[in-house]
Amino acid sequence: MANGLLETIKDRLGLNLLQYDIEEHANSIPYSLGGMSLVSIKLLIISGFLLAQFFVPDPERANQSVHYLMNQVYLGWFLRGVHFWSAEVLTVTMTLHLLRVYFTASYKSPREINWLTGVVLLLVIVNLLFTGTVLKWDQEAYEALDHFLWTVERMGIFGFPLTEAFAQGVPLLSRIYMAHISLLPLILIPILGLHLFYMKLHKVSPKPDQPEGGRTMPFSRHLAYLTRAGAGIFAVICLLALLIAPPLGEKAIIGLEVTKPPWQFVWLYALENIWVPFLIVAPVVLIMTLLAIPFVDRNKETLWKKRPIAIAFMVIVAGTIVGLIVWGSVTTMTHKM
Amino acid sequence: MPKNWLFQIFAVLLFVSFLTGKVYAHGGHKKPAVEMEEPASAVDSPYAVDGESTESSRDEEDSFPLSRPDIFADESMEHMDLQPSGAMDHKMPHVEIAKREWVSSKQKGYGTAVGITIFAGLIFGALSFKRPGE
Repeated sequence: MANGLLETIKDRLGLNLLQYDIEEHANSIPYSLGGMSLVSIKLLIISGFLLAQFFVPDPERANQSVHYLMNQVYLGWFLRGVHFWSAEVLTVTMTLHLLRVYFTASYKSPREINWLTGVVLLLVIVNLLFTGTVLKWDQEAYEALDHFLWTVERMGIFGFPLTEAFAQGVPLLSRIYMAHISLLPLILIPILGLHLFYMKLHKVSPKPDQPEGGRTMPFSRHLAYLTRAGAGIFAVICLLALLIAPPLGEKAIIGLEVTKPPWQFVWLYALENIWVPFLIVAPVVLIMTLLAIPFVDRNKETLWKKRPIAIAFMVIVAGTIVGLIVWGSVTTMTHKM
Repeated sequence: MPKNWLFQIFAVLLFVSFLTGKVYAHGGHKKPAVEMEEPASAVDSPYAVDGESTESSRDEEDSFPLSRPDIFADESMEHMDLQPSGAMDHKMPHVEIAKREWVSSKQKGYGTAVGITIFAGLIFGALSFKRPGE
């Protein structure tokens, strides 16, 4: 009877749709990095919703409201820590996911669309990271926004909607807050849905140099694996939030540039020191390159040893970005805009 | 007779028109003046700084650079010399650079946070040990 009821519920809720087959190697860390990123995104949405209850998106009060949350609200500091560390963990798992997909040639036919939606997701998440940095409205936040506005002002008519002049009288910080909690998530969620849909349609890519359709298992086994991985990620994020508080300064002093951006943006900060317009050129070139990869690399080989040019290219790009992050972190920059 | 009647009405109206405005304002009798209540202001806010007045808050808001469209005009983009011993040093206000810091155990709800973390760790441990559904 109980089994019959369970089957009825499964049928009515469509849970039987989760019983499709999936490649066995999906239950490994390299092939679960996307699922782990999804766990961080869920944590960001939940903690972000709670944080929004205490945030005042007004330039006069924003910084004070974050200080208030950190010092006066019960568990407020922990909540902000979970949100901050979820974003940090997401950056790491998402980057590793991208590199895994590249090195295992999973972007090749028929999975080009998965790669493209993934690049768009990366772009949206970087924007969420940036807007989140600005919201705390301290010196680092102001300087980040300062750079952003310098960039959009040079984009002419295309950058105009992103400037203060577009909606005079409305603080830009309030509009950035709207983008962070509403516009960007509204873009993120459907693209995430598409990414998952195409992953189901084209299935998990086979291991390099192996044919499509290897040994399979029910998807529910992969879900159980991801649940365990998600619990692990949540525990790590809680531990980090418990031990290390995210940076938070006092209200910004307008006109100064004394801080460095969050490490995710330090490579750009270092490039800007070499040539200021890199601030505009570098992200555009990087995104265009990522989007072009499946169309430029038509080599059918998937094993890394048989793709020397593609592998060398990514090693150089990733190595350069890591090098710039290290250089930007340890050096005092002297650029002028 | 009708003329007298009209005259009397005119005289009454003239008398009434000379009555002071205060009489009309208070319905013809004395009433204590109603004190205007200050609108709820930022002073009542938990974020308010001690001694801050609504007036000064308004003034600050009006002069806050982000409320002006030209705030990030080119001249404000000129960055200051960041060399520690530069000639600009005496002009540069001190800015405390925010860094990641160790969390103090005196933070509100620290014990609860420890509990949540241990619970999350135990859940992960139990799932790794039993591996249900895998």
